Amino acid sequence: MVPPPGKSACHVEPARPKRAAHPESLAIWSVGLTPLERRTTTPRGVPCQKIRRIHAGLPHRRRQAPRLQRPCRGSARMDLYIPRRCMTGVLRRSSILSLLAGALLLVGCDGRSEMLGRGGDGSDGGGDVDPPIYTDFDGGTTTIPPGDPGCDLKAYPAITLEEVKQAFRAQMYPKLTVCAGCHRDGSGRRFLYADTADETFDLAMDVADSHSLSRHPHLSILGRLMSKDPAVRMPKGGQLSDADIAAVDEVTCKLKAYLVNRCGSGGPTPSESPIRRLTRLEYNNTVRALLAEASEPATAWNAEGSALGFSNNVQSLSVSPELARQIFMTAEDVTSPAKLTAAELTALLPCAATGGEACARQFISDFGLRAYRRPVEPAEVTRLVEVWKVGNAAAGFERGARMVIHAMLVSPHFLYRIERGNRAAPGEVVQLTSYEMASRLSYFLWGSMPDKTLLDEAAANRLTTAAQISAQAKRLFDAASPDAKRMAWNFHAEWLGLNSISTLTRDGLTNWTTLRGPMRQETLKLAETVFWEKGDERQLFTSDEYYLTPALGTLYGVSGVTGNYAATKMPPERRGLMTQASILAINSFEDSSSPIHRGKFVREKLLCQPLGTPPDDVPPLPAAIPGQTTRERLSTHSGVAACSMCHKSMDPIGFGLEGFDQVGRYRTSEQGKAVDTSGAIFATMDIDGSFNGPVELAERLAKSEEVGSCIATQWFRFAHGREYLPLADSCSMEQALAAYRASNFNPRELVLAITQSDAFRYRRVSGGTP
Amino acid sequence: MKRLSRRTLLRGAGSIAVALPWLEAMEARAQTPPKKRFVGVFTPCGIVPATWYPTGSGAAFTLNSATTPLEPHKAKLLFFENISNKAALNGPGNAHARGTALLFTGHSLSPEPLFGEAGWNQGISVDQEIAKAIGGATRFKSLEFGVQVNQNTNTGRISYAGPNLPLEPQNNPKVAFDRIFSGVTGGGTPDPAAEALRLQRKSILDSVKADFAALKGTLGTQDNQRLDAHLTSIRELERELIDVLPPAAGCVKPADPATSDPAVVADFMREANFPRVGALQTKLLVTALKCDLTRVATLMWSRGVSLVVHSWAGAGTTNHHALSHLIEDTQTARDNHTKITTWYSQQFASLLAQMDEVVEPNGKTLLDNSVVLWGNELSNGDTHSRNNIPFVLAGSGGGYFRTGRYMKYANTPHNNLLVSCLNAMGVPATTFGKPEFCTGPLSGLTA
Repeated sequence: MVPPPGKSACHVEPARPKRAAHPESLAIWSVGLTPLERRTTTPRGVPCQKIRRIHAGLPHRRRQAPRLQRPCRGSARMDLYIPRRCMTGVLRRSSILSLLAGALLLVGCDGRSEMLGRGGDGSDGGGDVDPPIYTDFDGGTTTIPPGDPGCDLKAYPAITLEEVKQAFRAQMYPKLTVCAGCHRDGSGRRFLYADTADETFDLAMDVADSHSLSRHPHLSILGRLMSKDPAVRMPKGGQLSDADIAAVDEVTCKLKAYLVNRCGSGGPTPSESPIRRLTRLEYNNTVRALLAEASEPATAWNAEGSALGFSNNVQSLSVSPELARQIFMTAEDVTSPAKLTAAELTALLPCAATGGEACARQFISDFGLRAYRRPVEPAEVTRLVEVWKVGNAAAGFERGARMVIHAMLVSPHFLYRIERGNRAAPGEVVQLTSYEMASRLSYFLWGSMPDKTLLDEAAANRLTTAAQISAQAKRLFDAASPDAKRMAWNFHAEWLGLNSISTLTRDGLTNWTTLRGPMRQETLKLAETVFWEKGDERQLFTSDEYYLTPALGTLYGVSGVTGNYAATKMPPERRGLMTQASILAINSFEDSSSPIHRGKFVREKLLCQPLGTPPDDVPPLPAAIPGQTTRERLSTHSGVAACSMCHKSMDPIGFGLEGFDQVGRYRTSEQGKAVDTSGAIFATMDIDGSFNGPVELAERLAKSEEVGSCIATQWFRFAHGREYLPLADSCSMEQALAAYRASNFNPRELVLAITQSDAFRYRRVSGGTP
Repeated sequence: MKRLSRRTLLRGAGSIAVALPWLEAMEARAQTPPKKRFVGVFTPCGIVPATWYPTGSGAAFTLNSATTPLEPHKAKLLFFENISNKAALNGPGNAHARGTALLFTGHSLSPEPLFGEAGWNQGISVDQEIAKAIGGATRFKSLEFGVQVNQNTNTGRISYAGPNLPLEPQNNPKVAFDRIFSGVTGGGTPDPAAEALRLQRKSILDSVKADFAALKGTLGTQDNQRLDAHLTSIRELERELIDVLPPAAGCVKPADPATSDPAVVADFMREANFPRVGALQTKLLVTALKCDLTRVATLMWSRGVSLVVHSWAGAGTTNHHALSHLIEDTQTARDNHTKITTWYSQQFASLLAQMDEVVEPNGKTLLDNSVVLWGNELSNGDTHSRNNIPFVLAGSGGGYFRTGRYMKYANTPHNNLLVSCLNAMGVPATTFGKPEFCTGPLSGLTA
């Protein structure tokens, strides 16, 4: 259907929904605005104040007069500006292919639907229609409960991917032509689907399996396609009948059934295993273990990119010429007599230096086994002997030995973890070799090279069965191991974004620069205690015990703190992670709290729902009123559909933490008004609804399975140095999650279970087509 | 005239520090045609349109207030109207990420949400494309300088060796100095110890290269690309450490920043040191060009979404990015933002002045023989506009461009400008970056 120019079919807007806005959401979103103000500030062509300064992290200013910049609506093309950003990873890619992929794959292997069938948002940027306000965060009226009663997975016990594709071809693809009426780019190209149904399906699968789409709150596209609510239903104008919608639903149900059925039958389904360069941290740990070199020499290297919050993402570990130089010079330095003394070098030799070349060979094999974490191949020994000869000729055996170590430390076999021991055709699934498993275990659990026991087990090929791997994982990942504790510490620092605090500035504390370090430390101490001692991840959110320094005690208004990081019972307003100064301050503006960033933290870090950054050209908001509280100021977000589209996911969560200022101090009033800590959370699997204050928020987060599975996802990313891929990894994730649940959310059990999963034990052979 | 094979000569000499009189003479004769250089400069957060774009057109134009520091170089400049970063209008990533990463690449960001919503850029940058063509004659194929680039994501990188291969700018002037001028002494006889070290390093690098060669093709496509990129870096390192191409005759090593500015070097990421770090990096960059240690360099000031407070420019206490979001609102913001741009113009003018002081054997200056392209993340920072990017091109590329003009175009993709730069440097390209955003070199630029 091609819309006529000017007035397109997509703008045949159905009547506004008659139902009243949800009282809860109104309470949250209309603070500070009377009904009259709401009306006068949100007609079509909204006169507004810019909110860009909020996005820019600016202190808030009062405006004299509102500026009429542009209407808060997009123009006739959907892809212009408003909703795109918020639909992270979906519309942003300007391809509704990906959107389709997201819709298709909103499932986990346990058969629970993760599809978030919240109604739409009424702000599709579709043109000169009056934006429906407040229909978007009703938080319940269109919820599809977990379990997705519309989809009976048992109906398709043995469905194949080919059959799903057939269903797509017959039932879903023809419907997409309707969407292309509006969803096209400026030059009229549709960006919804490929030329053929099969191509579209394959592309959708590719997209789904390359990117994290499965957990986004705005992947409500399918919800919109299926919605019975005319205000939110896509396509607009009722082009799809209920029968059409049911047909679309059936296709997605079949895909879910396929994904569920394949787990546990037909063998493991791992992903490819990209080569992984040692991070600076891993390098430091490795040379400490290998050469007793404790100076952490890689710290001065050019930093790896920080991706998905983690520094070990394979996509961000490329080697530039300058880094290659740093790696080379570090190796030269740590093998120099100043760093590796003659006595230390002799201790590394398996034979007397008088043995000449024969001893050099033996040294290369022995030391190489540890450096390469596998036996050195004969051709490699030959090459390294040549290196030794150059040094030996110039300055004797010792120089040759140093050069051998230097050469190993710059070899790809040391710098990367390369898994190609078990050969097979590309696309085939193979198990890791015992040596490869030794490295996977040691780098995941210790962030360092395999120890002697692991290498001995590998030499005996005893790292292949689940039991063998489990035994070693348990040995390594023990509370008594400083390596294990350091690794978990590092995970929490990166996951929770705590490392950024060292560069942040916050107003209102004279001792901010000396206190921000302890703030970070305190949170990591809590995480460590929960992880290793309490053994129940939910306590990360609910613990009433913090680990304080006297200065932190003063900040929190807790007296009698002595010693460093002493366990201290907290007053009733503080519970767990979310009310710690580090989290509150990092997720604030310089001069005020930020419910936005605090909500974003919950979305991205705890629910694994990436939101992205604000759009390029954020539409303006109504003028602020002098004397407003932070909460009131942000209430303007709710009055504009284009803003609320994204901010509904964040602000109401953060409102629950308004009892804490930008440095995490407790407060009961702001701008002379009592602080209102009523909040709400929407678009989650299991903790939707309103709440009051941080403790209720903490209780919700603690009981949420979605939070639990997000924590598992974060560990998965950390373990594999890559994003969790919904299609390829869902069975492995489910294996780990099952153990996590069974252990009552013991995080150590989760980590151990990851080492038992298919994704950890197997790999898909990469390469071109077979 | 064909290039003299200095590399061959020097391998024979086996020397790290060489300044032989006869070589100097041969160098001089080798100078026609001139050695061309390319420098890319990035500054963030857009400009205030009313104070940036010149008035007039063609050769009859008047600089606007934010670029008055460039007045002395006006005859050697090209200003542009309506050259747009069209590649950055859409696609994965936000306006800042695209505006920064695509400035010198004209390509696109990966949709992989590594940094919230996008990943690295998916193409090579123009400086690296040029370096591939002309970077082989010098010790360093290219050098990437940074001034407090404090974000290791796609808003903190402008140079790319290829898809997903960002090149980190070096923020520390001391580290840059040590790398670039290592072994540059200005004369003397070859040091036997240095020669022995060179041979030992060579044997190690040979062994490593053999490791890479044995791995080649045994892994998946992406892994092979990663290893290829690493191997390329090893080859660069080989040139740096083993070939040790000597500096140009008359090269004088600059002062060691650790000696001249110990406090700045000790705290080079501290905001108060921003101007001085920039000055040190500029000096190192110009000297590296002058010494012919490299012919391609980039200089990245801060990063996309810069949070630097430019108090030294008298621009108040609001950070650059925040200020950019107020320029549509208040005159104060426009004034302060303009002060920052004017300050950056001064820094750019300082770079040009230093390059223009160096007279080369063909009688022209280093600046004349170079193409220096200054670009910005955005045009109007308040609206995040990537249209009408405030480019300034300086130097004629050895007489290739006819400078001293204000050129007007009609929303023309900046990829075309990048193609013109490639052509000026002798790279016979007709397209660059994403093909759909490129229609060939800009018209009317050449002499």
